Amino acid sequence: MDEEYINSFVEAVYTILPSYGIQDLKITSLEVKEIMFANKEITAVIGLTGSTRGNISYSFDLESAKNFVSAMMMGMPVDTIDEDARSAMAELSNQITGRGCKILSDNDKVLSSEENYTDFTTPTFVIGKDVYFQISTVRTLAINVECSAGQMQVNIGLEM
Amino acid sequence: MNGEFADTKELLDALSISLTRILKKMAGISPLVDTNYKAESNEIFSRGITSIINFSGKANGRIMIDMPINTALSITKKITGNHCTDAKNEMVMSTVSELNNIVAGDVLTVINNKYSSKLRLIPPIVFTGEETMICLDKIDSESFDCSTDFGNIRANVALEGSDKRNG
Repeated sequence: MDEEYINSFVEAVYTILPSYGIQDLKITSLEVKEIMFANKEITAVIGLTGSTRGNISYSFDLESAKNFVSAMMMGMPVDTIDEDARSAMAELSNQITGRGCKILSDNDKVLSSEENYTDFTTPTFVIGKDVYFQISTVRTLAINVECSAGQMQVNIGLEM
Repeated sequence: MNGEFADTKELLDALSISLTRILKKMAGISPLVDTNYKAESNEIFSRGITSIINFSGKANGRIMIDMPINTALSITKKITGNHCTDAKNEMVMSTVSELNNIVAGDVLTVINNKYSSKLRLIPPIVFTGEETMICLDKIDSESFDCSTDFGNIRANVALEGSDKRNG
């Protein structure tokens, strides 16, 4: 994976989150990890198959997750991450992944013809403490995002 | 076969055969499968270490293998010969992940051959953590327990739209 992959997903984050009124975004760090360690309580994992294979995950601490969902629901208070809240987070994850892949496709990095399509899976949520992940055996690129709603970490592990 | 596709039970049947065969071949374990498949809620608590493989194609779904940490450590020792004491050890994580990868690949081959369904596997994820819950909302899933001398392994299949397919 080269920097174009990071840039596509950074651009996707900068496009999708402001559409929910989250404007003050800051990329605090970019990391390359051999194995993913998500020390945040909530992680949504989306699988990609087709011409691009791998997993992309979105990790949040509990308070940040509530704030992101609240922003998506026009400021409605969110007390717990229940099925409705997870549905909103799933939508957010789908939108960022979709946008990131579209940018890659526009740059001929992801093939999107009928024969060479990229398909996503429904997000699976993993919720717990000190969750230690291994996403595939490929290197993971991590984008750490900070804003008034809190923090989010995007981990991209694609086989290239 | 166009239009027809397997239901969750057929995937579970294939999974139970494959998991039994591969555990025996790789680890020399002869597990006992409880074929009374149990419907699971959307929220499943991990027993210790869990591997998930999603698939897509004619249908989307997930195959999950979940076991207590001690079971994973014992199976790792049987397969690799390495005595590990920590679930976060790469050897343990990779063993559980690879076991799921082989089993899921086997199951999808059976289903693809029967239904020409072109299902494709997504690389597995594996994780361990405290009080970890796995949620796949709006998709029904069913599990069976596979008992071994080292503890019970839970195998789970979730199939998107399986309620519609089953009428």
